[in-house]
Amino acid sequence: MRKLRALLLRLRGLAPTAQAEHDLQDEIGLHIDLETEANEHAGIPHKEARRQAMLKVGGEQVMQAVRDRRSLPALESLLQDTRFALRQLRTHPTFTATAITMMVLGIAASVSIFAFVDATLLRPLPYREPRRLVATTELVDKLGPANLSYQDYLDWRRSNRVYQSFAAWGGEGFLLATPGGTEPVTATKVTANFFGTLGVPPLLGRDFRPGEDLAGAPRTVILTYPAWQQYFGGRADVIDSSVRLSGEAFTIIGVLPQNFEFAARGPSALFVAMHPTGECELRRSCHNLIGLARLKDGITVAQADGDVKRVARELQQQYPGSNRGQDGIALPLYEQVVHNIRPILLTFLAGSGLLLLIACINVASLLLARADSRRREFALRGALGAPSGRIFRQFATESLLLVLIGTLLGVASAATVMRLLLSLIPAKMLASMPYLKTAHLTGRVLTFTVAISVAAWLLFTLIPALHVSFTGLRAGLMEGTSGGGSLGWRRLGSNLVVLELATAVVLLAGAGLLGRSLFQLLRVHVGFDPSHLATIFVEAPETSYPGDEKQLALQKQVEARFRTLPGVQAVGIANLLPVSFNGNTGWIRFVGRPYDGHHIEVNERTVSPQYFETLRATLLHGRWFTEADAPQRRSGHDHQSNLRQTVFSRRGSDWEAVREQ
Amino acid sequence: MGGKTDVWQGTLALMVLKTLQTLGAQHGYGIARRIEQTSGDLLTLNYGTLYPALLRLEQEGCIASEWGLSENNRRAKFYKLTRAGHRQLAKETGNWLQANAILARFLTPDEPAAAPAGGAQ
Repeated sequence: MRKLRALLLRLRGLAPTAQAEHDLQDEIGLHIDLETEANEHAGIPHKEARRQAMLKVGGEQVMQAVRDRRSLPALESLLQDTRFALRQLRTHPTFTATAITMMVLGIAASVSIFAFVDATLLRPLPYREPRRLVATTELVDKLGPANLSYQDYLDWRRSNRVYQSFAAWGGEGFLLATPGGTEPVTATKVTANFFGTLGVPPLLGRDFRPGEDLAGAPRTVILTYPAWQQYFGGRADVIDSSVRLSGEAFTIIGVLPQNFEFAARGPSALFVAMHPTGECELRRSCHNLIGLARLKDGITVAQADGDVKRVARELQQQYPGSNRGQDGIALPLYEQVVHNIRPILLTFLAGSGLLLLIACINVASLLLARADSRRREFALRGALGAPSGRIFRQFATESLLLVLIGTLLGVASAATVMRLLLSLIPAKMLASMPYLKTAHLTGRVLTFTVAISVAAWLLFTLIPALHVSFTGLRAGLMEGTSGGGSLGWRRLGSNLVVLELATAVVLLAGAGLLGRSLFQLLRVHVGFDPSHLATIFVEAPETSYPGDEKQLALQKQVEARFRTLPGVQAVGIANLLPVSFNGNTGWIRFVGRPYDGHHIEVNERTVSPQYFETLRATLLHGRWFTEADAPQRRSGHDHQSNLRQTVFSRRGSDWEAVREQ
Repeated sequence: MGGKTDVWQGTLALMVLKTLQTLGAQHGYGIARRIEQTSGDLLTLNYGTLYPALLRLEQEGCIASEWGLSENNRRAKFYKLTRAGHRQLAKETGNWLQANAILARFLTPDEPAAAPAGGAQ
């Protein structure tokens, strides 16, 4: 308490008053006078008495000791240095502006990219014990990790020895009737243990119960927080109410927490319990799910991977018709989420790091040049008795000011840069990377900022200070003219320029290659004319348009209506847009060629007869589909039927194969 | 030994407080004389430490100062003990006496050490 009081009084003493100085002189003066009188009493002549008194009391020395005690000398000289440094920065506005601009650029770029890296790669996934969560699915030669069929999932869940709980999920979509009209909503179908496996309890209502994901159970849905707000006004009484999704009645049983995300799926407004009654769920060779599992205590991902592979091998033997070549894989859920974006982020981080390095070298070179032109000033101060520590501290203060201003402005602009970068990402892509939106200045980001600032500060202090001390104060004073430039400075300066140029070349080469790749990507020949094409999604649920006949009739109706629109030249329909891929593959066999035990797996999409003409695709041989092919093409789901009309792209050998039919 | 001793670190403040308790309000010179006299002129007081020490005690609230007139009618700064100073003095005096007593017991010569329980030879 007493110490604090003293400290506060000393802080106040930083602003010296004339009165205090006057009082001090009076006090010490009186002491000397009284001492002199005492000496005279002892019989010493006045002159000698005064001399002895002054020697004993000390005069100026004592006063300085009192002055030091009156305020905080260390802080006082720091304030002095700061004032001087500010004056220096103000009197060289061009230098100051250039240095600070470079610092701001470097720091804003690296801090904002690091914030994304932090949100994506460093922060754990928002689930309970995320390290024990694995994505587990089937593995095929052609696709790598592919989807898991429902039938296989049931067997995997039964036979694995490594999972505490094993859930599965798959993409789904519904039409939701809203006051503003029917809207398509994204959804995910999940097994009942999905949220239990993640360890995410619902915000409102309850989780799915065991059995609610079986064929006979009434249909249930859990809303995400945004869907609850958008479609149901955030009302609590939606729980246990009924909602129609694509014409089917679902009971809303819960609402998920606001911060819930499941990046592996991407955007999803609703989560419905699986209802394995569809054709796909009953057929072992239809793969439309992805497994999500929580490892048992003490089980590693590698062990899980081995066990999944064992189960997959057993199923291959048990069901050779459907499971041949179907291996299994388990990998950390984290990997599944970040493996696409990690190389991009690391590239950006490296790029912004190099940019920061260039900025720092630039500022360091500027400081070095300025230190050289200020050699006389420092030489003079040294000659007048300024200790070398004090001169060093002057450099430290000046660079600290630069770094502080640069860092503060840099961090402020980083927030803007982050918003800008986010707005550059297409909304659909961003929806599948929800973690990017959570990027902000966390403790880790600030620690990173402080670390690079301290490094820059050390660099900016040491380079000019070492330069001045190497040059030697005496030499600086004798040289007379400013900016003479010594050999040492030229060597250090040119080394810095070399380093900077090398960094810039690396950065430029990287940027050039990236630009070149993008340019090439835009010019890839896709086999059709991508200009003047418009796409539109039409959703027609089975409940409203049951059966192939009705679906086909709707297709024809849509085509006919679109063709009458002004400016429309041709209309084609496909179940999947060109140049996109959803993993739909089929196995084909050639008529007249004996089956050699290897599946021939090919990509597959269903299209209308006018599809290729609409795209203005290039035909290599043969002809396009005609209306006459349509009924045959839609021969139900008889997958044993021969694919008579199939368009093969790519290699000539494929065409040869088709001709063999 | 013999000759004068410098004031030990940390004891100057205690001497100042005690002096002010004994003499009442006093200026710097008076305090210095009193300390030297009390020590039987065995102590040399460094004024480079006395005045900063006075300022520190004042900043810490142990003493207060006011301007008055000295015995030769000069403007002089008089220091006096505050209530916090009295408390501080009592506390530090206690500490010192205790520390002294302990040291004295250590250093007193010819005191027979307690014989080891087993007794040797």
